[in-house]
Amino acid sequence: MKKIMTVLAVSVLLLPLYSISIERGREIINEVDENTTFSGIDLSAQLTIISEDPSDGIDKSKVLQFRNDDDDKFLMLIVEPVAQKGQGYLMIDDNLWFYDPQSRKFSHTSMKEQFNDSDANNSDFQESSLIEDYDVIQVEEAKLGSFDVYKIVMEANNNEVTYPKQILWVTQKNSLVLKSEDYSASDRLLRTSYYPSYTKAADTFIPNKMIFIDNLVENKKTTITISDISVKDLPDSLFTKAYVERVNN
Amino acid sequence: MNNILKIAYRNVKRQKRRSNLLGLAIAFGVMMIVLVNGLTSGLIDNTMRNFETLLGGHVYISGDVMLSNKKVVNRITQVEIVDAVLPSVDSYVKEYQKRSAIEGKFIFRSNVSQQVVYGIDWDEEQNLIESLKIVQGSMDGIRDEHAIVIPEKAAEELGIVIGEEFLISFENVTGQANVGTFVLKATYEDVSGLGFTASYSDIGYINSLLSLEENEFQALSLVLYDMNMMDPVAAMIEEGIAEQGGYLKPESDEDENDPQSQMQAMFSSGVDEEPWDDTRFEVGTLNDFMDAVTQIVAILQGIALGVFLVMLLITMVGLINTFHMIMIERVKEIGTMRAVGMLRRDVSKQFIAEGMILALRGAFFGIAAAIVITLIVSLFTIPPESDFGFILNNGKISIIIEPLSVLMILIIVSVVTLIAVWRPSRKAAKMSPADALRS
Repeated sequence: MKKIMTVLAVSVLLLPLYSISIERGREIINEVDENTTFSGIDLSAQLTIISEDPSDGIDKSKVLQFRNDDDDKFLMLIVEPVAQKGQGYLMIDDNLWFYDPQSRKFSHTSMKEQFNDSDANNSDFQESSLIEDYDVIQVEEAKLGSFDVYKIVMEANNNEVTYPKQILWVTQKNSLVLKSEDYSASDRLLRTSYYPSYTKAADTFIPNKMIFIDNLVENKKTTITISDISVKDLPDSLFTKAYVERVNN
Repeated sequence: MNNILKIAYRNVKRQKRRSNLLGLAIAFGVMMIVLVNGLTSGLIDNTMRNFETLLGGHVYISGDVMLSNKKVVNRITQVEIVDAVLPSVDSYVKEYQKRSAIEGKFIFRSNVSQQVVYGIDWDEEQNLIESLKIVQGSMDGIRDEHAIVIPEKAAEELGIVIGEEFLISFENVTGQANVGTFVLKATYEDVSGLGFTASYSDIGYINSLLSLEENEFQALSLVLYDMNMMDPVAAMIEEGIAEQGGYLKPESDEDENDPQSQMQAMFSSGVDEEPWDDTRFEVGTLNDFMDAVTQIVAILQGIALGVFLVMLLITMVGLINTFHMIMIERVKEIGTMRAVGMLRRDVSKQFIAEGMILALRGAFFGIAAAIVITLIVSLFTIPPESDFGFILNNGKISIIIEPLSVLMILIIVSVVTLIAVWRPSRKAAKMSPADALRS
């Protein structure tokens, strides 16, 4: 009886610590979102995407990225390889459009789709909104290489997000995601993402490099290097179908 | 009568060249109509069978549910409505097939193949089990939760052998990523001829992966005893669903003749404009998929009928001319026969018999030629995955020569011959023996 009472007492004493931990986890996730969202400024950058697929070999492509997070708009224009030059992904009014210069047509696509057959999803190029879609389940201090991190286990709070469960490794120092794992509804690891380094543009962080590893298909991964980062204002006319069509002429 | 036939047959043989040319024209016309009729019958038969195999029945009930984000997903949640309606059509139904479907990536090590898996109730799908031509493995243990039977080509693409485990990556009904683990029990040869192959696994496991309830399904196919009852049964089901308070999908402006859009509609999701509660039911039949095919068939049959009518007209004119010439050539012969006691009606009968022998001989040659061509065509195989896959029977073009159709052609040819020969035969019969001998 004494033992039971002791266990209960310890549990009651530890309960606030656990709830603080969850609350702290939510704060960290919020900081992650804020740290990587370009508020009041626009972003333009060049992405070099190298996709390694055991059946298709290695594909390299270059993409121009333009983001206006305040209005939830983004444009991705493929400039290399020549065969895909002019293809674009345009996010406007909560709709994501894919433009094919061959057919000169826009078709509706989804944030959940893979970007240009790589291991990156279209949503990976959008502003982060983890706090809206996920609940923090567990937070613990951990080490990732030489970095002190929080390991945060999150579960989706709605059934509409692509990954029902995510685990993030977030730096304790400045709340940046260094690694994330995406899980399926059957709790199988689908994808591991690494963000080994960041650049600060204005007050916002942007990863210099992103590595996405497919955990289902052996030896399949995508490396994205981000360069030529600029936070200059972008004209609204850039985020229009007319611009995407014009840039191809 | 026997003598008349003998004389008629001898007369046909007397003018071999003329008889053969006329017979050839008749044979060609008959051959064409037999072939086109057979081809269109085969086309309808193959297409219906291929769709029946693919869709698993003759009448289909599917349902859509609109999510809070307005996304439409393929799902029947009000199973009780379907259960209440089915007894009213039970006497027409041979087999019920409840199915759910996953479209996803089959992954084995570093090999990936895009495929469709139908979740089925193995105890209910006897037709399917019988139709699967197993190449490797066996159906023993196929009822195990993770067991799967896949097309032979998919197994080759994946480089997988019987007993090995592989993954299927897909999105569940709400769009979340999910992965299922499957154990390969058997591979089958694709004989659907549609160039579309599917894998089959336990509906319970597929439902759990799709986030459907255990008793739910995405489509129910009804195999009927009599295919002619497709539309009445579909109408009864629609009426029953409405009576039970179910919501039926309103008629749309979409191209209902396009089999591809019909197929996509059965297992697809999209964004819709008008919201609704619970399940929006849709009842379809094999005829919905066949409309486009029957239109092509009707055009083909129309062309064939046109060719046949032209051939008949040519034949008729040919017969009239031929028998007019025969009558002029044989005036003395007719006079002699009449002088020795041949009756007028026998002269007429002899002409008609001659015409009938000529026409029917040509018709039988035409039918024989059509059969020979059919046999030759059956030797060639076209890849089932080609664009024409859905009209083929296991990669072969089917020409179904129906006895009733052949009989009709023979009757039409006989009637036309009778009409063509009637006038010359009457003229010959009316001829006076004295005048004929004097000429």
